[in-house]
Formats: sequence, structure tokens, C-alpha cells
Amino acid sequence: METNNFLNLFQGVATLVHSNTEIMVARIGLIFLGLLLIYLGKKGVLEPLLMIPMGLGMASINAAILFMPDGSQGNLFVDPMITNPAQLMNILQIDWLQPIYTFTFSNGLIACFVFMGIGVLLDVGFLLQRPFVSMFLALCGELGTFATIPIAMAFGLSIRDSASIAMVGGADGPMVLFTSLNLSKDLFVPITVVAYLYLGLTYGGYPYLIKLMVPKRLRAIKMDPPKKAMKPITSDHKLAFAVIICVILCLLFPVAGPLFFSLFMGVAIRESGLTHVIEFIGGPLLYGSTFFLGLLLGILCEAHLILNPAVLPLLLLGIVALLLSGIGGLLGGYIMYFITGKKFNPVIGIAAVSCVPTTAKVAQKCVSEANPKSIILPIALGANICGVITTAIIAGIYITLIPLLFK
Amino acid sequence: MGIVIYKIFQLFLLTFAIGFFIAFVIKVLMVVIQSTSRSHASSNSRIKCYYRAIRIRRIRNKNRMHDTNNSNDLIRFYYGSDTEDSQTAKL
Repeated sequence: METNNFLNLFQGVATLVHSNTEIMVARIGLIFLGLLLIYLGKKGVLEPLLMIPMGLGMASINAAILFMPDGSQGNLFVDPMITNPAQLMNILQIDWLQPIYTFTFSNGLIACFVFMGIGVLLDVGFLLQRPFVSMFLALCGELGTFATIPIAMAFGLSIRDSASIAMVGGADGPMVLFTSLNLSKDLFVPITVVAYLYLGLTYGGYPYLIKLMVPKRLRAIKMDPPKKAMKPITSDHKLAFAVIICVILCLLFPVAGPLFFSLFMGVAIRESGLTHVIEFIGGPLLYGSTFFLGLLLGILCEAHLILNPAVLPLLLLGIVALLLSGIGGLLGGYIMYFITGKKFNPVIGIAAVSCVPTTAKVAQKCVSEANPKSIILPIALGANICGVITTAIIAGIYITLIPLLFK
Repeated sequence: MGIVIYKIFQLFLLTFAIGFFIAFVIKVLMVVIQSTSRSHASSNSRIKCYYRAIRIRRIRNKNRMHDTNNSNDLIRFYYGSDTEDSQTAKL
């Protein structure tokens, strides 16, 4: 009797005791995983901007489970499974994060905000100077986005879930979120969490892949300046590019229209020189959205929600997708190396994996180690930015065509 | 599984096609914009030359009026043009 009273007093502990073993172990495991993410974020191993809110959210939500009036277990943070409008209206007034989840997360608005912020940070001039080279490398850098689908299906995932986890190969967090929200409603939380966990590791992991695949002699190749002087790319050119490409892509893939619009809106604002708007989107909007994205992803990692047998393969498939994309990018770099008569530094290929600007920086870092006089950053950034556009195109193709092709 | 791989390969080819189409559009866009901006620049310089010529003519006429205070010069200044003026008018 006394134990019962004690448990009623501390419902977090009571729900832990009353849960079955699987849930109890998962809750405790997720609490420790959350703490580990905070630690790794603080140490700078993973991106602290995302990992600290995500880790604290994950740890807190799995601790703060209580008995609801109907006897079931729940929390006062968010209920992502509610679809009935009447229940939703009720829960909006109870769960404190429900308004943010309903109005920004479940409709992809937060992903679009992050994308708009990325657009404001992009200088598309590097892409405009070498469109074909950048596009070729970016397409090669999407190898993981395609090759992971059959591997995931071999693990027993459906085609929609496989396509969503394969998007991790595109190395673009908001894109993974947007695609999985559209294709894989049941698994979008673990897929997005896996994506963000691994994207943080590209900075540490890709240099090893480069050193494994590209010998020092080739890493040291100095890129000659072009024989014909490059024409200057003005902001008018960049604005015209953003507007025309946005309209064409929206015309081709209306389903991914919000993504294209957000990205190119950011580019257009940057090139129009709207200083106050640039400061707002590149500052408070981008950082605020990233913070709430991390927080909500952490909060959604509740044991009852993510305890799914399909989650474990996702951990492996995410890293496979990123690894294959890196290999594809470097192979693209090798193809360019042979096409240009051994004058192209193949390391640039890794920048085609569109983790802006991390992979471009990784490429320059590896090249500088081999030859401090070799500057490849402008070409790498072109491939990098093109990678973002290519990933958006693939997201559009997957969302539009996968439900049609695989009925 | 074979059919799945075949369909994914089709999607891959489609992505390649769209990607290179976008690259082609960018290339065309760059060529068009740069050729247009060149013609703007040349027409701007022509306009600048034209106005410069008018300014020079006015100053010369003004100086001539000041020097001679001749009625013929005044008439020429307001209504007529000399050889040099007809050359600048061609601009």
C-alpha cells in the first residue's frame, strides 16, 4: 500500500515500474542516449545546436511519462498520433509543444524555414561558373540515395520507408524530414533522428574515406586557373537563375514545390540585397527553426512511439547511405580526373555530397594537408551547392514517382 | 528485387536527365544574360557619348557667344549648326 502511494506521488517512476520490460529498458536506454547526445554536443563531436535540445528532449520525455485520466500512459509535451480534429483541438490546449508540432512540424513548415535559411547562406555564383561539372559531380554524389533503396528493401522495409532512409545519402536534414513526412509517416521520427545524428559525423568520417580512396599524389593536384578568364557573376545573374530554376522545378515537381520555393526564396532574398530580411532569415529564423527541430525530434523519441523493429536497421542503413554517397562523389571526381587529362583533383568529388558547407571544407582540408598551395574550395562549393539542388530534385522524384511506380 | 532495381535505375536516369537539363538551362541563361548585359553596356556608352557631345556643343556655343556677341552666332546657336555640330549630331 505504501509503495502504491509512493508511486502515485512520483508518476514518472510509477509508469516505469508498471511498463512491460521492453518499454522500461527502452525508456532508460533513451534517457541515457539523450544524456550522451548532450555530452557529445558539448564536446563538439556532434552539432551542439541540434544535439543539446534533442538530447535534453529525448531524456526528459522518457522520464516525464504519467498516467492519463483514462488510465493509459502519456505525457504533457506532445501527442503526434492524434488525427481527430476534435481531439486535436482539445490537446492543443493541454500539451505545451502541440501547437509547434501541429502548425510547423507535421506540415513540413519547419523544414522549409531551415531550407530558406540555407538558401540565404548559399552563393550560387560558384555553381553558375561551372554548371556541368558541378551537376555531374552532384549526381555522382547521390549514389547512396539510390543504391540504399534495394539494400533497405532486403532488410524488409517497404519501398516508401526505404526511399525515406535512402534520402540520408543526400546528406540534407530538412530534405530527409520532408521526404519521410510525405512517404513514411510511421518512421519519420527515427529516420530524421538517424539523419541528423550521422550528418554530424561527416566532418569526422569523410577524411578517412578520402584518404582511403585517393592517394596523396592525387590529393595534391593543384587546380590550374581556367585558360579563359571567368566572367564575373553579378547578383542579377544569380537572381535570374534562382527565379527561373525555381519555376522550372516547381513546374516539374509540384509536390516538392515548398522545398524548391523555400530554397530559391532564400537565394533570391540574398541576391536582392534585402539586408534586414537576410539578417532575419539567416539569423533568428534559421537558428530558431533548427532549435525547435532538434527539440521536437528529441521529444518525439518517446519509447512508446519509436519502439519499432524497423528502427534498428535504420541505424545501419543511414551510415550505408552516407558511405555510398561519399564513394559515388569520389568516383565522380575520378571520372573528371580522367576526362580532364589528369588535371582535376578527385577529392572535389566528396564535396558533391550536399552537406553545405561541411563537405566542401573537408575536401579543402584534405587537399591542403597534401599540398598547401592547392586551392579547390570554389569548385568544391559549386559541387556542394549543386548537391543541395540535386537532393531537392530527388526528393521531388521520390515523393512524386515512388507511389506511382511501386503501387 | 530485379524489377525494383530496374525501376530505381530508371529513377536514377531520370535524375541525371533532369540534372543535366538544369545545367543546360543555367548555361543558356548565363549566355543570354551576359550577351544582353553587353548590349546594355554598349548602348549606355553610346548614350553617354551623345550627351557628352551635346554638352560640349553647348559650352562651345556659349563661349563663342561670349567672345563675339555676334548676332549671326546667336542665330546659329539657337537655330543652326556648323560642320562640327552636324558630326556630333550623327552620334
